Amino acid sequence: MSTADVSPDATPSQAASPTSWWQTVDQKLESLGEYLNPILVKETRQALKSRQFAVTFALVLLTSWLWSLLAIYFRYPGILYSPDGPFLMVGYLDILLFPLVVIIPFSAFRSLASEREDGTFELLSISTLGPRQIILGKLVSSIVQMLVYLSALAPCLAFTYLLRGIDIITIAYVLICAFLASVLLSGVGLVLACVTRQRHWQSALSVIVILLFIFLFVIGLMISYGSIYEDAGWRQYDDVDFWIVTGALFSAYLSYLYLTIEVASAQITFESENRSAGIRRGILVQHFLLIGWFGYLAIRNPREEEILMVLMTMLCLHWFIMGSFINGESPVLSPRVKRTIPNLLADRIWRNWRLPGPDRGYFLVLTSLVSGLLVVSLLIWFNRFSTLSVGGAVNGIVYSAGLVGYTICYLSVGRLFLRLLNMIFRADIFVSVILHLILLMGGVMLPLGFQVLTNRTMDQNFHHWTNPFWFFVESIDSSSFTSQPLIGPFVIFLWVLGTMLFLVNLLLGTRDFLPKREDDPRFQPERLPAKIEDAADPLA
Amino acid sequence: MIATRKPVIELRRLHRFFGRTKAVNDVSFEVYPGQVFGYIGPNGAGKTTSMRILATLDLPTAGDALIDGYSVINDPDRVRRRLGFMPDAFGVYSNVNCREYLDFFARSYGLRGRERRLAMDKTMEFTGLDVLAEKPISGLSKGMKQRLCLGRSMIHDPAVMILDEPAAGLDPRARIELREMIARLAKHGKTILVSSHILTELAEMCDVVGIIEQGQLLATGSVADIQRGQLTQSRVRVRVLENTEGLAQWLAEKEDYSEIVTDGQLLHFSHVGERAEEAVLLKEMIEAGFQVAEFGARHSTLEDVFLNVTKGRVQ
Repeated sequence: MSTADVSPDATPSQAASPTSWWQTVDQKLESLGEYLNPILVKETRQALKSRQFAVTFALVLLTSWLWSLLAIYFRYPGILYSPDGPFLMVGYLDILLFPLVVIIPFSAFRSLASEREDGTFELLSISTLGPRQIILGKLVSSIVQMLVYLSALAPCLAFTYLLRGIDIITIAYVLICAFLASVLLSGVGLVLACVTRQRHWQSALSVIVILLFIFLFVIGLMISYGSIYEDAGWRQYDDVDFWIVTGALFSAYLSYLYLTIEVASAQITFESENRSAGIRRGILVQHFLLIGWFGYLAIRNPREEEILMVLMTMLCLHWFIMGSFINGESPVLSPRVKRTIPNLLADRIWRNWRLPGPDRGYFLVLTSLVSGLLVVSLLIWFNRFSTLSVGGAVNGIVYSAGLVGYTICYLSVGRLFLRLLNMIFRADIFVSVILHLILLMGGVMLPLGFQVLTNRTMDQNFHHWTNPFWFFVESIDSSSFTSQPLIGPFVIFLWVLGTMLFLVNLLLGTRDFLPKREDDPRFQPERLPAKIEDAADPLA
Repeated sequence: MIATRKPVIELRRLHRFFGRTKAVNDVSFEVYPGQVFGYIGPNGAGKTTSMRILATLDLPTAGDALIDGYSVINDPDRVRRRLGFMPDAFGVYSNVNCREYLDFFARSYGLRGRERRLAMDKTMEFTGLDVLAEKPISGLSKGMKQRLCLGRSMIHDPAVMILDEPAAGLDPRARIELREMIARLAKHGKTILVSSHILTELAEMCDVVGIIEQGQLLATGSVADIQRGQLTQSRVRVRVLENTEGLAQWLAEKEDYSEIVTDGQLLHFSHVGERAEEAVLLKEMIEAGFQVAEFGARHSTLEDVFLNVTKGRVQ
């Protein structure tokens, strides 16, 4: 540094050479700390020094001791010979759930929200820290706090094991579940912290968030009581399927955690950067996970076409929800994003799905849905070679095709409406989600309203064709629904309609669909006209 | 300061529109290594907007801005590494002391191990915060917080520093200390862009000033250059031993001299033009036989220039 008139003695004093192995370990750990995420270091320092942490930690310790004493008092002398471990474990877990489900996620929420309120966020933005580093630092700091709480209750948890009635796997399983839930909720807290920048909305949001976490805490209390004290039936540790389901749930959990981190990171990324690529990657990971796990289940149980129908339902739900968000993205590509577009056409096409913008996103959603339908069809075809009946195969194919047709139609209509709205005002993601919900509600309510007005009975007939839930319920309730003669033409009609809507959208979005890497003349001063009266906002 | 090298800060036809409001409208200027550039203008003139664009916190609507040759649009990461930005808000954390605060930002700029400790020690010594290292930030005075924020913006040894209203709300002592620190930074080769409302201080510390109003740069150059460009007015005071009225009449016959007022032996008048003309005038007075005992002129300050250039318009 050359800025200051620094006296020679300003150089840092050299650390004393270690005299014991412990000092050597200490120094090694300190040097290791140099490579930790700076946000983690700062947040941990702040959190451990805060009054809120001191009070919560003291309360957790105090209530756990109190619970130990009360439980022993009430259960004495039975506690000396009967397996009372689950009884105490429920109490300890409930005590632990309060900081894990309420305090820590809310602290994560406040931590990011206050960065914006106190003006420190901009200072972080112009440092060399990336948005993902900021989010991960805050998340890992929450994990450190969780570990502190867990370690404080470790003796109590060991005590429950000694009392018998609960095995070590259950204790570990339950604690890991509580820990993972807390991590995900902290991630959700970080996402919610970025929802609004306005102070009055932030205050309202704080109340909503704390109420949400308290509500989840109450649910957690019920789950802990049910799973530890009342019902031990789920603990089938010797069954391979138990661990397969655990693995599937864990992978789904990881995908949602990843998506949460990506969404939170995108929200704090500059508007001019590419904020969509990470989220789209996360959504695709979930798509592949769904196909992977359900595909595996379908191959293991080839007779049950219902597994594939559940897969298609989940895929359609997944893509409808994500599509309703993606359709509301801003169509403007910032100059910074434009600079990342490859020059080579093939490369440009391959990477196009990662570029922000509703048209590219809409295309990604639709192609993913169709790819999901193809996979399901392939699995049905594959299972036909073993034990899947013809009726089951037809049922599966018709249902899947119908549901995908519905999803394409609704998303395409939503995209068309948003195009119209964007001519009047900038319809953002929030507007898009509301619009898709209204469209869906309209599709459900239209035939129902007609039924009420004309006093007709319309159950189980095609008057309800606009209602995807009607199609879903009828198909699930009875396999005869998908084998009636009208169903084939109806599904074809849905697909024709969907394809037409898709083509209209594609035609309207052609100009922006495959953007080229180009230097925007607006940012080349030598190419600017003498006087600029009006220009589009680069961040609109 | 000799400006022969490439500019370190460069605004090229910068525009930033917010709807119909033209916050920055075709602003161009250059700042060379080691220069202190004073950015002055009334509230809402576009100073902070241009500074935020330079700090990569905003994008221009058109035009470009470069720091050390790197565009804020195309190379924001490189710009950030070369830039220290001090916004008008403190931006401090709770439950953190001065050392921890600087430590955090040093880590955030990728400084590790000895390099980080050295940067922290030097910054603390430079800002005079070494004695308050363990003090919580919440307990610092406004002046000390401002020093800390200056320390934060220079912790990674940037070539360019952008200081937005650094002296706002400080007491006179803190202002003087801040001014001295900025002067020392410039002496050590930093290029500084500073905005302020306290024009007398800017005049003392800046090599160059730019006056902006309604998003447009009205004048740029050294204070003296602008004064010359503006043909600024000075108020001249003359004491003659006798014949004050005669001198007044003699002056009234000349061009460029107005508002002539006599008060006993004293005579005041206004002059629009260059300083050299006043020296010629004094010589002529003496040659004309007037017994001049005192001759002095109060030239226009940066404040006068500012008032002269700007019109107090807001958008």
